[in-house]
Amino acid sequence: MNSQEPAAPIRALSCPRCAGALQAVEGDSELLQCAYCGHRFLDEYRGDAASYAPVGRLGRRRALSVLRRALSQVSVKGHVVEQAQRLHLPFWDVQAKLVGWQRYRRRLPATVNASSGLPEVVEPSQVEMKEETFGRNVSYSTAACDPREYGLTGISGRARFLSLRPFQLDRVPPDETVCAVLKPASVVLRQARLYHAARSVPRDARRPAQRVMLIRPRIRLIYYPVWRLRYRSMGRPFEAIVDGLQPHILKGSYPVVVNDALETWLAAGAAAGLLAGLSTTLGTLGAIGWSANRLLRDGVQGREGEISAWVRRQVGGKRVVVRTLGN
Amino acid sequence: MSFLDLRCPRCGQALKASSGVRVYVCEACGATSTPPVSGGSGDEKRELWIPPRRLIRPRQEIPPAGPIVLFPLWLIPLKIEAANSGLPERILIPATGRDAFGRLVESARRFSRARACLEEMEIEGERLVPHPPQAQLGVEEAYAVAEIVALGHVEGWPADEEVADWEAPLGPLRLVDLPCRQTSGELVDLVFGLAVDPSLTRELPRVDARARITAEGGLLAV
Repeated sequence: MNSQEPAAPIRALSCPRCAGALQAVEGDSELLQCAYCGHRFLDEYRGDAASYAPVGRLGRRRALSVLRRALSQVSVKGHVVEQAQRLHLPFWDVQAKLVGWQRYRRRLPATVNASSGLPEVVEPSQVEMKEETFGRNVSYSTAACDPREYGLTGISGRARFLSLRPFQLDRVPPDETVCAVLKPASVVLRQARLYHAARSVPRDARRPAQRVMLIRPRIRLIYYPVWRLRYRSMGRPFEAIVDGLQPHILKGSYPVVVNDALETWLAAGAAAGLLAGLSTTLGTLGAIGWSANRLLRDGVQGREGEISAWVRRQVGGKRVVVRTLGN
Repeated sequence: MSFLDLRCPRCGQALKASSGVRVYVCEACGATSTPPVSGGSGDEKRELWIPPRRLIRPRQEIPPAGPIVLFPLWLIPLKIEAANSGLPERILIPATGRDAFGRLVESARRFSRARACLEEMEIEGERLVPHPPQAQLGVEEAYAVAEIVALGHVEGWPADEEVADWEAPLGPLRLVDLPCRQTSGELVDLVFGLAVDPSLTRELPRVDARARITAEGGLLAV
């Protein structure tokens, strides 16, 4: 089985002169060169942002097999996929040079007395003034929509390892969905600056005064793919979100059969015993057992208690509850 | 998404833009150009900007032998109101050494603190033969470094609470080339007599500009 769908034809950023494909020049992320005419261009951010998508996406068949395997691992037998839809979740990715100056006060670190080998006592009032400059390449990634709905919190850990190709929204197939960008680029740039400014100050700094600038920021949108699979099992509808690049479930639910016969028997025994007045001992034991089993459900509707799990194995019985699939 | 066409804004020749370079020199006409400050609405046509570029006349004796190498710096004059604040008249920022930021700021401070009258020779950068070197630091980076140099120049000033909103009194910048003598791989400038940090000159082409400097009158009378 082919694990990945055939690579889409690369619609590279085209050369404004000859429409040839533009490629990044090694060692300079801003510099682009036309593969055909050799002319060079400098990529610059002017309020707009290019869109990219990762290459090597999982195809529909692979996504379905990921679900099938995940369901078989939790002993779900029989499911029918009713809808498989690829979603494109937008994430902002910022790259810039961070340049800054800061001044802060810091309590003097304890020094060791050479003769005694013991740490010198440092008065709380003993502080040193520090002045620092810094300049480094930084990156920042944040979601442009709400990806938690799909089991993703961010792609900052994987953004730098992704191979990207240009993503053209007008060429997305009609059965795929592109989620809307909800966070403006200007907000993201401010967040990026504040994030890195905060990271530049040592934890023990007091009264920091800081000047931080992002030089020549380049901002782009990365559309991360996920598969939304809607399936039916035991007559009920369920949903699973499969990572569009790596074969694993991000979020989902599945049905499981549990036994409630013990509860019924205990409750019936308790009620019958008490009402008939035949045995207060039987009634009391039944009531205690029923309560304990309820408490062991952790207060969550549908969770199976340990006692009933044990009895289910002994007695048998059926009730469908929903459990979380994936992480 | 916008692309800046790396073509000489004076003669239209395609520029040889190598990795990390942001100040380009046209091989055909010798004009220096650099990306303009980012921003704008995105509608207007953008092209490279030609900054003023002048050669600084040496104040120290030119050695009889050895190459004279040009070291490019951004010169940013400070506005007149800065005079009473203890700031220097101008800030000089090496236009090379993009990847050695700490050394770059330190060198900028040394050159900015050095006291000497700078006389610009009556020769524009593009008339220099051989052409002046390309450089790495663009306009935005130069202004950012200039702010940092100005911030650290006077101890304890501006006050902590004013730093975030403090507006550096920076004027319009230009590019200047400082003639340097080369001694065993190290460059020593012929104006202030300062040694240039080697980490800033790794990418600097060692083209001898002796003929042009001596032809233009050479040493400035001290």
